Amino acid sequence: MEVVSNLLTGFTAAGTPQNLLFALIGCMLGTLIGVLPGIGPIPTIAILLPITYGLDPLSSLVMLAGIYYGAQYGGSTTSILVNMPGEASSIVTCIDGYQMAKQGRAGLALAVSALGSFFAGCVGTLFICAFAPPLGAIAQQFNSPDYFSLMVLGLVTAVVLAHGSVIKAVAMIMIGLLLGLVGTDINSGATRYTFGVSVLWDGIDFLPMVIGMFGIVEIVRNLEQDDVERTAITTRFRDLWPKWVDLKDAVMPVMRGTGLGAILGILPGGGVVLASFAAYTVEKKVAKDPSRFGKGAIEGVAGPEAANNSAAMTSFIPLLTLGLPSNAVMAIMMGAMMIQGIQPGSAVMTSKPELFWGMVASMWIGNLMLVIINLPMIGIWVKLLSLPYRFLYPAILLFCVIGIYSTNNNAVLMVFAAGFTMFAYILIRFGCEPAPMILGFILGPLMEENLRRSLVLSRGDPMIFIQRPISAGLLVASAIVVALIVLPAFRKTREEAFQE
Amino acid sequence: MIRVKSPQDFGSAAIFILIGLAGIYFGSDLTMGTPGRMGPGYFPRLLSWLIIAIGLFVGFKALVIDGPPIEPPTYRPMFFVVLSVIIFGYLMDYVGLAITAVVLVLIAALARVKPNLIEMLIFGICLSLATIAIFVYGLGQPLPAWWGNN
Repeated sequence: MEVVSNLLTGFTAAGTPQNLLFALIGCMLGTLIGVLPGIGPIPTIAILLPITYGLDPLSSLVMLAGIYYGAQYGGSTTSILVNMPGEASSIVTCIDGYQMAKQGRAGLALAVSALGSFFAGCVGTLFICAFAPPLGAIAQQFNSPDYFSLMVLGLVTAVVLAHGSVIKAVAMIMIGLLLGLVGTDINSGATRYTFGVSVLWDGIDFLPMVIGMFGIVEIVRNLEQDDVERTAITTRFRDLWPKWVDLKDAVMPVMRGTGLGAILGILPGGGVVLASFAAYTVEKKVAKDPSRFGKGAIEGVAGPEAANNSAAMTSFIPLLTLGLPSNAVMAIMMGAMMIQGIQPGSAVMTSKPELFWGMVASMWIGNLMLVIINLPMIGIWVKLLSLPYRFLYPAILLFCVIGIYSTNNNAVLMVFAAGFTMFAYILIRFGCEPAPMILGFILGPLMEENLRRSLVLSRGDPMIFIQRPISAGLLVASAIVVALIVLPAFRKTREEAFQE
Repeated sequence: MIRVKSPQDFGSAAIFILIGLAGIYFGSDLTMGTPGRMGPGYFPRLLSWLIIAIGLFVGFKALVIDGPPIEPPTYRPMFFVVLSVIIFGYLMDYVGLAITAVVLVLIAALARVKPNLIEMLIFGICLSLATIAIFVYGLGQPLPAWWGNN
């Protein structure tokens, strides 16, 4: 019964006109950037962060969350109609979605992915209701050593589940941790790595870094490729009403995708991309006739699209209950919460229940909005797609720089952004993913703080991490994850999973 | 003669080692302290050494195991995009968003080969007016709109 009263609190908080409006804005923006290739949720959320400073915490989080899951809806539209992923999480949707569109079944593919996403979103929300309170209760028992070990486990898992080289990702996390330490040390008051520059006293500014490493660098990389003509397969609204016969084949894939996505979303480093890839692989494995895949199998659209949306929902669980961001988007959400003066973690649920449950409720409301908005507005999104990149990129670039500039009207931040753009560009050229760095950057100060406190408690004895049962358990789990990655059999599956 | 078999890994190794060394060098004035009473230099130095260790490992691997080559970079997009970003920051204070936005669009347009600058000028003016409407009047962001602050 507690869940009901909690949800009631949530719906009351999320149902105010202002919060409904921000949920709508977030969902619309999310769909927009989801549809447009070349800009993803990470820079968008970062660009909008300065605008949220003046809002109350719930409104701003509702909007930012809406961008993230809205993008999962929008991404499929581009995949199906243009054969180009609007988002990384919709790459697999291209395979069968575009084939369906070529066969004149675009309406069905779009409807199935929207309805499947809606179902997955609802289940994902229920997942949060079911798992967040017990996890939060466990987290309340945590002490400094346990938190430190938890972060170790989170980072280790994030590395293993992310794509690309494991060892390089570890290095990227550590570089992130190191960069996170720049600024004034809270314990001693000493300034670290500031080079006498006063903007660095409070640490490296989050926005120029994120916008440079994820927004501007994407523009540069897109410009290196030739401008491809994007031709969308047209579809009419009345084609969108699916027939029951067609839907029947999609029901089970949606269920499987939802479940798989929900689980993979909770795991650190999991998130939407892994969920959609895994769901496609599963659908292909369970299908009676796998040869239909790649030729317009509806299961290949339904499964992954449900999976990426439920993963987008459940990836909020570790952040909201443990204060542990599981991917780069969540790291930015964590930054957004800290800017609002909220330390993410189990305390949020007990001290600010209306914020926590309001966010959960808004996610459900947002999913409903997305289905209602998206299907009738499909024509508008398709129109936007025909906008050539030569117009799109200066606009994206302008929004990026305004986002950075409006934090404190300081030109030095632009130099930072430019520096991080070049840094990220070089790293990508050398095969290093920048995403783990953001995780490390956000967790750097927290990790140091907990390490310090633990060792003060034990008078410098590192055994404290093994003596406390919770901490020991988390470290054993980390060790198992590391052992898995070294095992050749697991490595092979991991590589295959990202090959598809 | 040692041959680099994986240029990408070799490049990352160089960056890692460089960052680790920088972490140690620029953090050398920070007090270490003891594990029980960590100074501000303890965790940074620990991380720096770990990064160097990974760098050495990846670098060694690059000499032994084959890997993908580094794609040759194209400098034009990077140069003009970065230039437009930096100029934006310095121009905003003096002439405000209206003009700066147009300048940014024009410089960014040069990132493509053979841009149509007249087309981009018209687009830049429209975009500039739209962003002022959205960010300054719509969202109330404290940005200098029509002319600079000083």
